[in-house]
Amino acid sequence: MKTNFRPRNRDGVTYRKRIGTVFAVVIVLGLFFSFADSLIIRIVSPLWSGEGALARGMENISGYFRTKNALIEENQNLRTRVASQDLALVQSRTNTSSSEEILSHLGRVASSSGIAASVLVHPPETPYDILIIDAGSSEGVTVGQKVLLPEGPEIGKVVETFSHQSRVHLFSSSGEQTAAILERNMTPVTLIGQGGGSFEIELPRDVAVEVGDKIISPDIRSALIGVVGGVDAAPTDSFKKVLVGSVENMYSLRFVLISS
Amino acid sequence: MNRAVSTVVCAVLILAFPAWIYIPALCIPIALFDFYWEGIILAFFIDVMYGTRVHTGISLYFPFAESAAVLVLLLLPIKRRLR
Repeated sequence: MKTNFRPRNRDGVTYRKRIGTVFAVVIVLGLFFSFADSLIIRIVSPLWSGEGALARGMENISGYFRTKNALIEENQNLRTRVASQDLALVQSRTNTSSSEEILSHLGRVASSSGIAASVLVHPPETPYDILIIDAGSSEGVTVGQKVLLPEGPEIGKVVETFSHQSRVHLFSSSGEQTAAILERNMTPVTLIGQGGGSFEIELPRDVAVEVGDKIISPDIRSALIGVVGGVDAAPTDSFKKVLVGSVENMYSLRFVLISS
Repeated sequence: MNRAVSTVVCAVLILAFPAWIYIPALCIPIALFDFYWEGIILAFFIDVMYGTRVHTGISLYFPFAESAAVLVLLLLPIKRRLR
C-alpha cells in the first residue's frame, strides 16, 4: 500500500512562501517608507494637534469635580512655588546680565533669536527620546540646529525636517553622547543619555561632585543642560557614576525654541 | 474580522497612546494570529512616525519593523508545532 507523505511537504512549502512574503514586505515597505515619511507625518500631524487640544480640554473638565479643599491646598502650594521661582528668576537674570556684559566686552553678543515651535508628540508616546515639533523647513528650520527650552536650557538638536514639521533628537536619548561641563570645577564631562530625560556621567572618584550641581554646555553660551540628581560610587571603584536629570519634564513639554 | 479589528485597534493605540501601551499591544496579535503580517506594516508606521535612523552595528533603519518581522518568522515554526 502506498503512503502519501505530501502533507508534511506542503507545510514546508507554505513555511518557505511565508518567509519569502515577509522578506518581500520588509524590502518593499522599507523602500516605500523611506520616501513617504514626510507624507505620513503631514497626514498625522493634525491628529496629534487635535489630541493635544483634547487632552488639555479634558484636564479643564476634570477640574469641575475636584473638592474645594483640594483646590485651596493646590492654590497655596502653587503660590509658594511661584514666590520661590520668582526669586530664582531674579537671581538668574542678574547672572545672565553679568555674563552678557562680559561677552560684550569680549566682542561676542549673545543672540536670543530663534524659531518658536509647539511640541506635537513627546515621550512617552515616542518610544525613543524624540520630539515632533510643528516647525519645519518652511519656517526656516534646518538639520543640526539646537533646540532649547523657552527659558534657555538646551535639550537636543534637529535631526530631520519636513515641510512644516521637524524631528528633534533629545540629548537624553539612550546611548546619545553629549559633551558638557560640570560647573563645580569646570570639568569636561561626557553625558550619556539613558532615556526618559536622564543622563549618566562617569567621573574619577577624586572629582568633587554634589547633588544639585549644574551641568552646562561647553560653548560660550554655557546653557544649562541638567542637574546632578545622585552620585553612585562603590568603595572599591576607581570611577563613580553620576546621575543627571534634565531640567524639564519631557513628558509635559509643550513649547521649544530652535536656535537660529 | 478579528484580524481587521485588531489592526484598527493597534493603529489607534499607536496614534494616541504611549509606547509602553502600543508596543506590547502590537505583540499580542502577532502572538495570537497566524502569520500576522499586518503587524510588520504597523511597526513600520511606528518607525516612520516616532523613530529616527538608529545606527547600530548592523545599522537598523527601521528597528521596530525589522523586529516585528523577526518575531513573526520566529513564531511560525513554534505555532506549527503547537497545533
